[in-house]
Amino acid sequence: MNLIRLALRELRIRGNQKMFSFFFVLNLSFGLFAFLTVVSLKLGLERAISEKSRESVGADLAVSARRDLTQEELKVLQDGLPKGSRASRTVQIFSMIRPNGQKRVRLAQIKGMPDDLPFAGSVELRVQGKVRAPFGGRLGQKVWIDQALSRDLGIERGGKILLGGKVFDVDDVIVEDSNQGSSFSAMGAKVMIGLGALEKTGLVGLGSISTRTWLAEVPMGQRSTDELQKLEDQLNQKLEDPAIRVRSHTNSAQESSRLFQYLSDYLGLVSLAALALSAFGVIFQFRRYLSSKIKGLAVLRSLGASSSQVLGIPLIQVLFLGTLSGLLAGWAAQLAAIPLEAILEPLSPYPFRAVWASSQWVLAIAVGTLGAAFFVIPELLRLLEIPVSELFRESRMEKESTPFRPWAYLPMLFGWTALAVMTARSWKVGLLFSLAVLFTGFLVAVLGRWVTRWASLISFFQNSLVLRIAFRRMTRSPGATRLAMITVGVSTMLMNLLPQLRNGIESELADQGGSGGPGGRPALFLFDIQDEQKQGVDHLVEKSGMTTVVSSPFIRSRLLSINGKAFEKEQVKNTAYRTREDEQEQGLRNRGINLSYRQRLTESETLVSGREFTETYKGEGPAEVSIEKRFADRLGLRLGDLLKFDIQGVDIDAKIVNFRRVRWSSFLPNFFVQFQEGVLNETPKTFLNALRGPEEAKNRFLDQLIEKFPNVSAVDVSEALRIFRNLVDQIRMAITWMAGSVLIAGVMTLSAMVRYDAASKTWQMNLFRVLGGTPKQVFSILALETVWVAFVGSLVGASLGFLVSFSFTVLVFEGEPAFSAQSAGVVISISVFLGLALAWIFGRGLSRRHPREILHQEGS
Amino acid sequence: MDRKERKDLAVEGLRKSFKTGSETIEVLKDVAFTAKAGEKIAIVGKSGSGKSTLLGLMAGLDRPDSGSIQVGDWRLDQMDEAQKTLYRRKSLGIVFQQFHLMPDLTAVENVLLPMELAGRADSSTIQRAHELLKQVGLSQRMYHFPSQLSGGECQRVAIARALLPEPELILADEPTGNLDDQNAKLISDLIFQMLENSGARGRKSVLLLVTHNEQLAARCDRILRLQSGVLSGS
Repeated sequence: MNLIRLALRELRIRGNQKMFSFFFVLNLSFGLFAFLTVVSLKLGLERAISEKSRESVGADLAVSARRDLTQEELKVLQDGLPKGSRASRTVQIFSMIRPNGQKRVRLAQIKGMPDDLPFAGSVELRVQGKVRAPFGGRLGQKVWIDQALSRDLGIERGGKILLGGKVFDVDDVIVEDSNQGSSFSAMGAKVMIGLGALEKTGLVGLGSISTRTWLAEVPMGQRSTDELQKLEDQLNQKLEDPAIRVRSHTNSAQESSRLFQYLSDYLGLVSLAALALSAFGVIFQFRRYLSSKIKGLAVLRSLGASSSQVLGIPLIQVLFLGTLSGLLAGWAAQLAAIPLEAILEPLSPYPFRAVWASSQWVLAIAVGTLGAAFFVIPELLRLLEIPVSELFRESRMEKESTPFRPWAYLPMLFGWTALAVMTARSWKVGLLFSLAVLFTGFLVAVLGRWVTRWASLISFFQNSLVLRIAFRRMTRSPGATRLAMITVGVSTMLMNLLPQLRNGIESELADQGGSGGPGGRPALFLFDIQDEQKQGVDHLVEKSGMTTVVSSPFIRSRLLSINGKAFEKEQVKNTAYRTREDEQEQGLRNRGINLSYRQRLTESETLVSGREFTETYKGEGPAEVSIEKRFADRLGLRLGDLLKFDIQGVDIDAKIVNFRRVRWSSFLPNFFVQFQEGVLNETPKTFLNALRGPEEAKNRFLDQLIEKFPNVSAVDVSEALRIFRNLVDQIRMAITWMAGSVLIAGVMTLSAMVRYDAASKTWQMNLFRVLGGTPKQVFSILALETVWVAFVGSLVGASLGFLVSFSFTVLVFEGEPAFSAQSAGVVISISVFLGLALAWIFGRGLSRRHPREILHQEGS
Repeated sequence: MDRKERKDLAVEGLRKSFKTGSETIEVLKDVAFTAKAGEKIAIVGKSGSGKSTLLGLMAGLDRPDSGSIQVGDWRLDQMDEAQKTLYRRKSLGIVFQQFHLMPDLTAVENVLLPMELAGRADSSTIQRAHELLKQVGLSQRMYHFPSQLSGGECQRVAIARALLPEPELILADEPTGNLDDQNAKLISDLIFQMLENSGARGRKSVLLLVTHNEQLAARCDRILRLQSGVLSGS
């Protein structure tokens, strides 16, 4: 009989092997399905991007900058495009609008569209229906507003709005716009207007936060992804200013969906944690399974079967079960993608559906089989190391007396880390995540064992027979206890990390002193205040009963060199696999730098190293400059480095005198680069003001602002926070969903462990009963062990979850950490309750078994 | 019934059958025997003759279809599970073929286990456990775990465990069946010697020894033969 038939027949015929197969498949499938769900969602988005990105951008190529291109740059662009191409320019700005004759105002994103744009895409209008590109010519002096604006301001077709001091007719309401390409879309409702009309408002002034985008259409036949990428590279190289961004429609769409992609990366990582937990369960079950059939394998070896034949049988069984698990997980992933898709869609700039392609079946089966094989290799190798004579002693595998071979776990670790890096698309994040989970597992194992050992020595525990037996078992056979604790610890760490992170973010955003009170966050954030308007705005602020918290000059610049070495523009890598680090590096280098000047730090800044500015610049030597710490880290800057900036055509040298940490969530104007006073005071600039004040003063101020300074935009911080909170809630839902899968994987694994543990105790507990122990005592022993494992594991896991979230909040968000003892307590209580429930489910049977069985059993 | 007038062990009309599918197998058929305190009885029989079933009934692990089992003051056939648990704690000692020690308790803890379960592990009991282990030659191995002991040593611990509560009945199920000849002789000598010792202390237990070993059986006061569920004997 060949090995495959023997292996598969074994799985089929014996009751306990059927149970093993069932739980093995169940465990692995639960670990896999979440991962496969995320893969299918990512694939869905990728497909949506590839299908809709041209319509979304409205062209083949977009060249954008926050200034107009010079004549030379325009020539470079025209010469760089293939013959037969056409290009046209749109302008996007932020401005306050309000229905004519009403008091309500709203910040809106205004898009000025020339007659010949866009080159691709369409809009669905409420009255006029679907209008295909190019539709700029239909706008003329009229505007289309989006549904949110129509709803908020109560304007419909035929209404009028005030924009930049001029009144415009609302021609229609946009129901759906294929052109989604804006990173600011969450901040303001959308208004589309003819470009000429927008320019006439005077809103597109010097220093306004506006984006000019030249959209280009290349001739048919030259629009392949590769050709567009090549064109993008060439233009990026020729247009040297880092502030000019050239993007093909595919790359542009990728960038605009970055938030979603980051989130799906994170969800992918969480799903890998579920896979890791299920790995523990699979290893545990396989170890028990192997020990139950070890005599059979010993017989085979003693009859002359080779090592490969002996190992072949369980390996074939595992590969078969891994395949089954992959298939089952694939099927479950398709179902699970439906609710997750609904949660995530609002976060994506493109409507998308999860995609399940044949390649994913291959992935599911590959991860199922390879994963299962990697998980069990260490156990199989252990088997090989045991002499045949020893194999006949069934308890040999249980005693774990074979030496620990860390290298046997390497394939599993490498495989898992590779998946983490691929999922996160980041070496750093993937490795850190793997290390964090491994470290948690390690710490839980070490601390758990240490605490258990010490607890077992306490005289109270020594005096109680039940406690003594329970603790003695945990300390003397630590393998199972360790695995169970790691399972509880890792899942608790992840579960506890989420509420802690959310608390950290929310408490940071919470209104600490009331929006209008001193010390609280500002109520309004003004931008685009022109130099000559500053005084008037300040006067208006005072008159309305508001207070200016901070007023910062805002100046555009280019970083030319660092210590004499040119700071070059980074090309977009045209590779199938671009890491997040690549994206960040590219994002950092390929943009102009907005800077400011002020002599002292604001309340949201802390000096990290170096010294404060000496005094106002005297005109000698390089100017003093302060750099935000993380920005400096990314560019590898050090104190004393010399930087050269191009500030509106003038080269200015600067020397780094300090690094600052900035609390960005303070909603105060902050900058990566800050000059000392006296250097840039005469440079053309705009101002960013943060204002505080009560609600009525705020409304009074806004009403007058739009009248007197129509070009100045105001962000209502509460509204921005509301949008942000909605976003956080949506993200939280997605993460909670995924955390649920981790919890299920953890529960599955823990169930398997408790179940097998209860089964392995059968004869001991029967003996205990025969010697006069009661069923209650038998149950108590099992329950004590399970509850202890759940308590210690969850306590360590929750503490680590807090530590990790603390690190994230402090290091990543740079905010104040907020510890919620309540959520930690809830997670620990749930774990303990779960432990008790599992002990009850599996221990009940054990305590009810009749002790007469011992007369027919073999013992240790 | 006055304790002095009755037998210390009395089994009468004991019947036990099991159902396997539609078939009912009668394992014990009208088994009856009596024993006095200190008496050593061997039960000999082939595999499947019903020895384990009889032991199970004597240990209160099973309930007879009919008949009665009296061990001292205990009427096993009339007791519920809680009473049987008390009986096992106080009046029964068992020595298994497979030793059956709790793997996570030391030798001395294993010996003390029945007394601890009965809530009688005071200092004098602990001292007695140490003495018993000394008597079985394990004075240097008292704090070893079963995995650190040889088969013969494990069985010696099991014997000490069975004797510590000074039970009314000791059941020994093939106590030498898993041992080599040398150890088997050592253990059988030990069982009889220890019983003599405890008898000399005035605590006489009935020994019910199930064995295949005719030589071992011959050392008992009586040999009962169990064949197809029917007990006969000298």
